[in-house]
Amino acid sequence: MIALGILLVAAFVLGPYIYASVRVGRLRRELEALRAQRTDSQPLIARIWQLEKTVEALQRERGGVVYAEPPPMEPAAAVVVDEPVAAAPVIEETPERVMAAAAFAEVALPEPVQGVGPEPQFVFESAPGPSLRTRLSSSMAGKDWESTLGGNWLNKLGVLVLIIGIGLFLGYSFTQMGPAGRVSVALAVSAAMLAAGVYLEQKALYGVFGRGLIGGGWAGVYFTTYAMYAVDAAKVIDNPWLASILLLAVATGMIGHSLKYRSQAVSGLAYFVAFATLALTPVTAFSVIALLPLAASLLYLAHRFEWFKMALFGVLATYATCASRGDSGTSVAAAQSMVGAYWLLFEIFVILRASRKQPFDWAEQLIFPLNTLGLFALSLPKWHHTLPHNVWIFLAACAAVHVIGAILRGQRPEPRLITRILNAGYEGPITLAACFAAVAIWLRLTTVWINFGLLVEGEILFMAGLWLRLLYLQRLGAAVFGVATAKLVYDAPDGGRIGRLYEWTPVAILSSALMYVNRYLGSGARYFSYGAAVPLLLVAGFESPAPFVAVAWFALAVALFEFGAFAKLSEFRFQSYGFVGFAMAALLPNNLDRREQWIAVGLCVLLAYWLTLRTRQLTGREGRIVPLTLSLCTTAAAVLFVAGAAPSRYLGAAWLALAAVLLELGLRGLPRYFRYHSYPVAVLGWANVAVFGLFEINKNMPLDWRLSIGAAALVSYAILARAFPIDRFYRIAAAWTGTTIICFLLWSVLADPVVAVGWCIVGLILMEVATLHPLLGGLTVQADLLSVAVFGRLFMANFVNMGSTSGISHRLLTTVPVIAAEYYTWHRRQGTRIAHYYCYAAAILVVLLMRFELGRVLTVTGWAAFVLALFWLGRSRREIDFRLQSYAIALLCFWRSWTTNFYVPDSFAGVPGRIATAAFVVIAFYAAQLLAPREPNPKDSWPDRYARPLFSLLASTLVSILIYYEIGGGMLSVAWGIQATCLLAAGFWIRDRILRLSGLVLFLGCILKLFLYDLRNLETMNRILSFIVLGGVMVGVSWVYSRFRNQIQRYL
Amino acid sequence: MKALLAVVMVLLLAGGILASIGKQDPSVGLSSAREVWADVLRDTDQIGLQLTRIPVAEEVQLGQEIEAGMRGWAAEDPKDTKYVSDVAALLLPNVGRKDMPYRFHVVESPSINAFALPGGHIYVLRGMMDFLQNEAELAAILGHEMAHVDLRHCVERYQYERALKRAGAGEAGQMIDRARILVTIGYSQYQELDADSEGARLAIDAGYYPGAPEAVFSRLESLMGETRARRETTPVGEVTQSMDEALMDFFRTHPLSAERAKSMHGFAASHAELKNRRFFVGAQNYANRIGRSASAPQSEMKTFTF
Repeated sequence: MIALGILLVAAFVLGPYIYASVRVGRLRRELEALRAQRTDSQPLIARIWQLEKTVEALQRERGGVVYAEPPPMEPAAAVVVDEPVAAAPVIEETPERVMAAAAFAEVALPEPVQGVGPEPQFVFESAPGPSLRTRLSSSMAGKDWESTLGGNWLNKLGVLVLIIGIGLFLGYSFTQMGPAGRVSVALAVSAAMLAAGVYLEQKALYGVFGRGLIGGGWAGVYFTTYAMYAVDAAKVIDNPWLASILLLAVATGMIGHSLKYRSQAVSGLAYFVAFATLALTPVTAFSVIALLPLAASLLYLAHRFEWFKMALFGVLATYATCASRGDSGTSVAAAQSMVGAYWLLFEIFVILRASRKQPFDWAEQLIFPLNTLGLFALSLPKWHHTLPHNVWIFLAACAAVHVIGAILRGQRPEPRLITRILNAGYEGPITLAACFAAVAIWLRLTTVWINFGLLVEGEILFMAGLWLRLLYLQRLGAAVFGVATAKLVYDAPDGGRIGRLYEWTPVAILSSALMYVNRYLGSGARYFSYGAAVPLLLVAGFESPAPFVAVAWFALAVALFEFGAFAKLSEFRFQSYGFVGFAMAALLPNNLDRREQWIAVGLCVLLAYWLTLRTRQLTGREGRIVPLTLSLCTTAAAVLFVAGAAPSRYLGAAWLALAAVLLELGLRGLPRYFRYHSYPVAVLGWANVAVFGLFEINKNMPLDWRLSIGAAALVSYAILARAFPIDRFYRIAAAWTGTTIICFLLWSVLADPVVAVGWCIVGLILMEVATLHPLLGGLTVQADLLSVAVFGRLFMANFVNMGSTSGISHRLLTTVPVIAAEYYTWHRRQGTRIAHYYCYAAAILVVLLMRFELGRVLTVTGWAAFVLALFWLGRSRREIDFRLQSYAIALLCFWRSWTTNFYVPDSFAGVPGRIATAAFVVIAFYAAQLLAPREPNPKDSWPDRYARPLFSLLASTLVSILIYYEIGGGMLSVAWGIQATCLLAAGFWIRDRILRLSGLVLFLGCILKLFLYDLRNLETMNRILSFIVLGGVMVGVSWVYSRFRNQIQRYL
Repeated sequence: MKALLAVVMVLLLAGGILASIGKQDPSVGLSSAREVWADVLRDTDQIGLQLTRIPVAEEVQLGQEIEAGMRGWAAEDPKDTKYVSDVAALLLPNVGRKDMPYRFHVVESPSINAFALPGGHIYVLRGMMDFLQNEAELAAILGHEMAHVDLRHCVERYQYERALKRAGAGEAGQMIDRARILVTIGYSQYQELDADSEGARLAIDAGYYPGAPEAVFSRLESLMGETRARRETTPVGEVTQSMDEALMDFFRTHPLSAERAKSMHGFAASHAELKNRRFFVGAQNYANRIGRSASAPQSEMKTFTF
C-alpha cells in the first residue's frame, strides 16, 4: 500500500510537470520550424499582408466586421480577434466568430505566422516572439489545459487506480471466491475495459478516454495472466512455462493491439500498468523473469515506432520494479545475472539506436545513464552486503562490459563532446569504464600499488588513444594520470611513513617519466608535461633536506627553462616559472629563521638570477612580465640571503650593500628592474639601521656595532655617489639617511664635547661636496641643519662642560673651531641669504663662549673687545653684519656692566672687578668711537649713522654710573663735574662734538642734582664742596669757551 | 679658499682630539641655556631693583620687624649665639656693606638649615649646628648667609612692594611682588651659587679652610640623597633627560648639593694662590664652642690642596 501511495503521489506531482515539459518541448520545436519557414515565406507573407489590407479596406467600405491589425510582437495576433475600432460596429465575440476568424486566418495564411508583424520586411527579423513561459501560461489558462487534465489524465489515472485495484483484488485471499473465480473476475473486468475502450476509441468525442480504457484493459489482462501463476491467491496454473507462454501471448497481443493505434500513450499506459502490477505482487523468480519479456517488448515497440519516452519509461519501470522488491535473498550470481540481463537489454537498445547515426531524443539520451545507474543501484548493495571484498570484481566487470559497449558504439560525428556522449558515442561508456577500473584498482590494491595500477590504466588508455587516434582516449588517459598524481600528492605527507624513498619516490619518478614519455609521444599532450612536473616537484621537495628544497626547485626550474628554450617548448618555461614560485614559497618557512642555512639561500639567489638573466631574451607579454617577476624573486631571495648570512648587527649595512649591488645591476641593465628593487631594499636597510642601530645607539655600545652603523653610512654615501646624477630617490634618501646615520654614530663614538666638532666637520664636508655638482645642492640644506644641530649641541654639552686638557677647557677647545667653521661657512657662502645666519650664529657663539669661559664678571671685557673687533672688521671689510653685531653686543655689554658687574664683589689684583671691567669696556667703546667716521655717510644705514654717538654715549654713561656707585654720597656731583670736564677736554682735543656735548649735558645734570638733591640731602661740608668745585669747574669751562671762541667755532 | 678650509679643518680636528684626550666631564644638559636665561632675567630685574633700592636704615627696620615676628618661633641658645657671633665677627671686615648691623641667632630647631633676613639678621638652626663638624664649615655657612645680605638678595624681594607702597599702590605692590617671584625663581639658584662663592670668599679671607664649603655640601648630598638621575646613554634619552632636568631645575629655589659642592670645588681650584697654604679648620674649637684665638694650635690648621 505504501508503494501504491508513493506511485499515486508521484503521478500527481510528476504528471503535470512531465506534461508541461513535453508541451514546452513541442512548442519549441514548432517555433524553430516556423522560424525556418519564415525566412522563405517573407515575400509571400508580404503579399498576404497586402491582400489582407485590401480585404480590410473592402470590408470597411462595406461596413463589415473589422479585424484589428495584429500587434507587431504578438505571434498569435493573426488569429485573434481584437477589439474593433471605434468607428466600426461592435460585434460580440462569440466562439463561433472566433472560429470563423480562425478559419479566415487559416485561409489567408496557409503557413504558420507566429511572430509575423505588420511590417514583414523588418519586423520579421528583429521582433522577438513571446516567451515560451508566456505561451505556456496562456495555453494552460484556457480550456485546452482543462480538457487535457479532465479528458486525458483523469482517465489514465482512473485506469491506473482500477488496475491496481484488480491487482489487489487478485492478491487478496478471501474465502468467498477461489483463485479461478478471482482470475475470472479480473479477466472479466479487464476484458470489459478493453472492449469499452475499443468501442469508445472509435467515437470522436471519446477517443482519448477510450484509449485510456484500452491501456488499462491490457494491463489488467497482463497482470491477471501473471497472477494466474505468480500470485498464490489467484494461482490457477502450476506450469511456469505455460504461464510464461501465456504471459508472452498477452504481451504480444498488447503490443499488436497498440500497434493498431500507433499511440505511445496507449502502449505506455499498458506497460506502466504491467510494471506496476509486477511491483505490487509477491516476489518470485518468475516475477523477476517476467520483467524481461515486458521490457523487451517495450523496447521493441519503442525502437519500432521511435517511442523514446516509452523506452525511458521502460528503464525506469524495470529498475524501479526490481528495486521495489528488495533483496529476495538469492545468490549474487543469480541476482547479478538478472540485473545484468536488464542492463544488457537496454544497452542493446541504445547500441541499436546508436547504429542509426541519428541524433538522440532527450528521452533516448537519458536511457544510458539511467541504465548504468540502475545497474549500480541494484548490484552494488548486493555485492557490498554479500561479498564486500569482491566489489572490485563487479567494478572490473562493469569496466569490461562498458569497454565492449564503447567499442560497439563507435564514434559519433557531432563536434561537441557532450553531444557525442548524449548521442551514445563511445566516450560515455569508455569514461565509465575508466572510472570503474580506477575504483576497482583502488579497492583491490594498496599503498603505492594503487598509483602503479592507475598508471597502467592511464597508459593503456593513452596508448589506445594514440593507436586509434582518438584524442578523447588520450585525454582520458591523462585524466587517470591526473588521478594517480593527485594520489601521489595526497600520499606525499605520509611518504616518510610509508617508506618514501623505496615506495613513494620510485612511483612518483615513474609517473613523471611516463608522463614525459607520453608528452613526447603525443605531440599535443602538453598536459602530460605539466602533470609530470608535479611528481618531480614533490620528489625534489621531499627528498631534499629542508633548507635545500628551494635550491632543488630552483635547480629544476633552471633545468626546465633551459630545456624549454632548447626544445622551443613553452610549457617547460611555464613549468619553470611555477617551480620558481614554489621555491620562493619554500624559502620563507624553511630558511627565514635559520641563519645557518644562508648557503642554500645563496644558491637560490644565484639560480634565480641566472633565470632572470636568461629570461631577458623573451619577448612580448612574457618578456615583460617574467623577467620582472624573476628579478623580484631574486631580490627577495637575496634579501633573505643577506638576512641569514650577515650578523644581526650588520644586517642594515648588509641590506644597504645589497641595495647598492642591485642599483648597479639595474643601472647596467642586468636587468633594469633591479634599480627599482633596490629602493625597498635600501629602505629596509635604513629601517633596520634606524630601529636596531640608531634607536638603540648609546655611548657604551660595542665597537662592532658602531662599525656596522658606520658601514651603513658609508654605503649610503656610496649609493649617493653612484646614483645622484640620475636617480632622484637616492639623491634625497641616501644623502639624508647617510648624514643622519653618521651624525648618530659620531654622537656615540665621540666624547660629549667633541660631538659638535664632529658634526661640524660633517657639515663642512657636505657643504664642500655640494659645490662639486649642481644636483648635489641639497646637501647644503643638510649642512645648514647640521649647523643648527651643532648650535644646540654646544648648549647641551659644551658651554657648561668642566673638562679640560692641560688647563685649557674643552669648551674653548671645541667651541672656537666651531666658531671658525661658522665664519668659514659664512665666507664660503657669501651672497646667499643663509650666509647671514652663519655670521650671526658665529657671533652669538662667541658671546656665549665668553660668557661661560670668562665668567659672569669678566664676560663684559671679552664682549667689549669683540665689539671693537667686529666694528673694525665691519668698517674695514665693509660688512654691515659685523657692524650691526658690534652695536648689539655693545648695548649688551653696557647693560651687563650696569646690571651685573657694578654689583659683584670680585676683584682682580686688588682692583675691584667692577672698576677693572668697566674701564676695559669704556676704553673699548671709546676706541670704537674713534674708529667710527666723524661725519657719517648719508648712504650708510641708520645704525651706522649713529655709531659714533652710540659708542661715545655708552662709554660716558657707563663712567657716570660707575662714578655713582663708586663715589656716591656728597662727592658725587664733584666727581661727575670732573667727568664732564674731562669729556669736554677730550672733546676739544680730539675735536669730537659728542664728547663735548656729553660733558655739557653732564654739567647740566650736576647742576640739577645740586639744586634738587644735594641742597637738601648732603651734609653741609659736602654740599658746600660740591657747589664750589662744580661751580669752579663750570666757570673754568665757560672761560675756555669764551677765551677760545674762534677756535671753538671752527671745531663746532 | 682651500687653505682656509684646511685651516678650519685642522682647527676642528685639533680641538676635537685635544678635547678627547683630556679630563672628561660627562655632564650633558640644558643648564647652559638655563643659565643664559637666568642672566637675562636677573639683569632685567636688576634695572628695577636699582631704581627701587631702599636705604640701609629702612632695610634694618624691615629686618627688625621680621625678626620681631619670629621671636616666639624657637628658643635662642645664648651660648651658641655668642660663639657664632664670634666666628662671624672674623668675616665682617670683608663684607661689602659695612654699614649693615649684623645680628646672629642660634635657635632650637632640628632642621639642618640657616637663613638670613633683611637688615643683617642671620639665623642658624640647631640641626645645622649639629650637622657641621668644624669652625671652618660654620664660617662657610655664615659667609653664605652674610653674602645674601651683602648682595641684597634678602631685601630685593621687598623692594618693589615697598616702592609701590610708598607710591600709594600697596595692593599692586603685592601683586607685582608675586609676579617677581615667578621671575626670580628662574635665577634664585644662581643667587645661591653667588652667595656660596661670596661666602667662601669671606671665610677664606678670614683664614678658614677653603675646602670646608665643599665638604659641607658633599655631606649634605649624602644626607639628603640628592642625586641626579643616572645619565641616559641614548640620544633620545639624553635630550628628554636634559629637558626634564631643566624643567625641574627651573622651579628649584636651591641648586642640588652636588652641584654646589662641584661649584665650590671649582671656586677653590680657580684660586691657585690658595694652594699649599695653611688654613684654620677648628674642629676642636667648634666642639667646645670656643672662638678662634690669634694663636691657633697647629692641630687645628690644615694645608689646602686640590
